[in-house]
Amino acid sequence: VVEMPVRIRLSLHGCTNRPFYHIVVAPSRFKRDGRHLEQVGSFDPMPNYNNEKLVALNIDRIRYWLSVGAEPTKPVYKILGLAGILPVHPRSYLETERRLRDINNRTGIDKTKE
Amino acid sequence: VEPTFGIMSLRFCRGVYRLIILRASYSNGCVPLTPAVSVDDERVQDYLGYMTGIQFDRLYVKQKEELSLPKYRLLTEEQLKRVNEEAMKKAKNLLKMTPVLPEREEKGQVKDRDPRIDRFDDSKWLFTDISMGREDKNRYIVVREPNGVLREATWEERGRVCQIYFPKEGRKIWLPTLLTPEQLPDVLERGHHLHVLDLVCVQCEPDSSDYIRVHHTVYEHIDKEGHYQDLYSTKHYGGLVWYLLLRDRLEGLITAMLEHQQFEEAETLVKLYCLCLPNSSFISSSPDTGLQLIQEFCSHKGYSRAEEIVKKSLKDTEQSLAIQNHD
Repeated sequence: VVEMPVRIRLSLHGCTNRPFYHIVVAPSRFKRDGRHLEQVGSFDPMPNYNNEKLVALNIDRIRYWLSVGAEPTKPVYKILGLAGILPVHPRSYLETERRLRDINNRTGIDKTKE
Repeated sequence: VEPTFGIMSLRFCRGVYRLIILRASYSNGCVPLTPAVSVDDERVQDYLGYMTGIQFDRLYVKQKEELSLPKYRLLTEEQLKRVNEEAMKKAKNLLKMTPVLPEREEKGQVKDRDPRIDRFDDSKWLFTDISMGREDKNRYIVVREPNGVLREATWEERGRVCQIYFPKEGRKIWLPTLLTPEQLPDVLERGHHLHVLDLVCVQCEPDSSDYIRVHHTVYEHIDKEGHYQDLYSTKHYGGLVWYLLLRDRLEGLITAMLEHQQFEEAETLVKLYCLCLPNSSFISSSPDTGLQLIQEFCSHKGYSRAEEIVKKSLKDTEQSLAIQNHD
């Protein structure tokens, strides 16, 4: 018996230097961009004209798949956490801390240069 | 000067069905009065529908379609009658008055705050629920700000995002420049009232601020220039009449009606006035007499030009009656 848990994950579309993700329900053994059970949304990581990142979520279907045991991957969990559907993932807190630390380090370096 | 109106008075319009709010009948021309009957009332809709009129050449020539060969059908008298009735029904459907609603309340309440993800990103994240079977105005659309606040999307954001994922035909994602307050006066100067109103009906929801603003600007311009006939026999005419009625500025409208020999429509307008503003100082002493009623109304209000026209046409009818009796 081969383990094939069903996941909710991002599948990469778009083109070179322009990623665009579909949020997709698929068993983990299927190809990343290949066959899937259902598409439940999309995520555009590039901010638009209004500096917004657009995420579409079919919340009814996501709820169903979560209820039957589908596991969201970390990026998808992060998205669902930011959307208010699931609690905010600790990864978001970690990424924020690291980001602020990097910003501080950079400004620190600039200050020392002056 | 664009008229400003109190939102409280408009809320009254919507929520109050048969209660009559006593207010001075004199209006300063900008702030709308509270009508005794709401615009959705059957009688009001009937009157406005009658005033709108049906001109088939205006209704059916407007649209540009693909060229096709003309179709000929051989019909009996009865079939022809039935086809005409259907055409009339279709025309009435096209002429159904556009909705008049109070402005919607702003959205944007904060749902959740999380200071631990403050500055998690430089841009906002806009989440939309694309579940089937939801109405656009009830969709779960939220924004996660860079400072970690999760709030409901504003109407502007909602409109844009619904148009991206559930596009409506003819609607643009961004408001057309034609409808912005900077460009609109210039467009109206060129006389494109009908085009602008059709555009805004497709683009905006009836209770959005843009819809109301554009409609009011167009109505003001039409009233100023006297182009009432531009909207005659269209679905926008009822809205124009209702707007002017609530602000008690019917002089231009009634004069234009009489100049175009629309005496029954003018009589309907006076009847609508009596129905909706019963506390005004005009109470007709002789009800249901067409031209007499109009004359009384015009003389009471001081619409001199309109009164002239009515007096002249009364004299003409008297003369023709006299000639008939003589014969």
